[in-house]
Amino acid sequence: MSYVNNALEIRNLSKHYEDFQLDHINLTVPAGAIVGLIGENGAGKSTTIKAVMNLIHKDSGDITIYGQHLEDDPQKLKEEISVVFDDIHFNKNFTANEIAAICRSIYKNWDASRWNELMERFGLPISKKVKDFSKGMRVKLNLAIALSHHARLLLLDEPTSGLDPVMRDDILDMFLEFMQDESHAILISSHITSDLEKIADYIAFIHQGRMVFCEDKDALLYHYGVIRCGREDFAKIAEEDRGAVRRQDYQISVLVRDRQAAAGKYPDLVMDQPDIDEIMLFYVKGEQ
Amino acid sequence: MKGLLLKDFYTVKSMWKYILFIAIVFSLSFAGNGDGTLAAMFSFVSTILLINSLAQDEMDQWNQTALTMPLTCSQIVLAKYLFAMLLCIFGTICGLLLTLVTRLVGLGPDIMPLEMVALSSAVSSAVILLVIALMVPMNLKFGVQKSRYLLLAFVVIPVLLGTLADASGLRIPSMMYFGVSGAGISVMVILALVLIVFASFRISVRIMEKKEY
Repeated sequence: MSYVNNALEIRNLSKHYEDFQLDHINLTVPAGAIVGLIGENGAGKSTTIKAVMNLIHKDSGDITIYGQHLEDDPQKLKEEISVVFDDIHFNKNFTANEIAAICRSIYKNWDASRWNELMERFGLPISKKVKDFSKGMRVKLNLAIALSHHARLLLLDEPTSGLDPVMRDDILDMFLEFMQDESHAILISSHITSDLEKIADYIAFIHQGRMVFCEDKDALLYHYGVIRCGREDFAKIAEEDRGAVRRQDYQISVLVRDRQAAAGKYPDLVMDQPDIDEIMLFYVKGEQ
Repeated sequence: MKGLLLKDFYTVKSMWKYILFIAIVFSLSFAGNGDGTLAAMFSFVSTILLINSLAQDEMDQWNQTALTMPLTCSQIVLAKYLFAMLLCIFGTICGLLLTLVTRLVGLGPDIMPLEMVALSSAVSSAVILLVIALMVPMNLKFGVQKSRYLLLAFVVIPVLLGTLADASGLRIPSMMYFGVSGAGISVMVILALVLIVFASFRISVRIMEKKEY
């Protein structure tokens, strides 16, 4: 198999609905990388993932998976992709064993020993009905399916929502383990930005159907800064240095894209390191 | 394909208590008739199980996941038709066998010749296939809830029209009136059925391809 640098490439993806539109989305998931997709509810994260899998019909744009278009050879390419939604979409009266039997007949690369290993590792009962599983167990079952057919690309739509921190940590470890193969890649949408801070290499932020940024996570966390100041000090900050501004009753917060440069330029002002949530809030609620 | 059929049969398996109850009620009610009623009733159960399977898929958002798997719309739709047809055939055979057994042990009258019992069962199976051909595309297009009313309209309207025609003295001329033999009619019916089921399948695939999940 030829080596392709990018697991997923989305170019100018647009999709128009009556009350919402995905507007020329560009996103690259390099092989060997985890890309975290963030944004408010209804920002377009799930729509983007659905467009990758042709679950919705895009108006325009180009999507390639390991250099191939899904429509060229959908069955072959889908063997290499696993999509995990926030809940399992099998009949909840099925047992894990029955679900495995179905998947074994659908995926050519189904690996029964890997499945058994994952079921044991996750501590999931194979003969119990899924309806009797907890939310966390259902997420683990979904992941066991996703990881049992030798997929190379994982598309995860809010996979850890509603889980406790311990279970989330277990699952994040599984993702990091999956990434040991450098041809593997993950696109994960999540509201839990602390999870993304732990595992993601890149953070892509979608706001109102538009890609606001897609940046290296470390660069984002270490380059961005927040100046906290009053009205007088705020006036000293040059317009071009104000990435975004949030005005509160008692202070004004200014997002700067180059923390070191800003610290040199405004040595008297208080500078904080923002987390992903705060950066997102600047773009959503702040003045640009 | 095998995985899709397996999924639907596991759904049937999860309802075995209800199915057994229906089978017992139908058997007690119709096995003693000695005619094709029990086979017809058993094959009718396939439509109930088909509706249930489609409703379950809708509730689980199964098609969304299925389309992320190495499956095509044609395979997903074909599996649904095969599932319903296999149930219809299985129901008819079970009904016929039970009827035959009750006749053999003397529990049911043997007034109707066996060929006529088999023929009436074939006719009822054909009607069920027609219902299946209507149900699948309607359910895929409008969802299970709306389709129930539409199916009801498809059944009630022709019955009402027939009753009205009958009351007003109108008679639909038999094909035999036009000199077509019984065998000719059978061939025409089978051909029409095959065409209708094929057209229904194509329409269902088209609906699924156009739909967004």
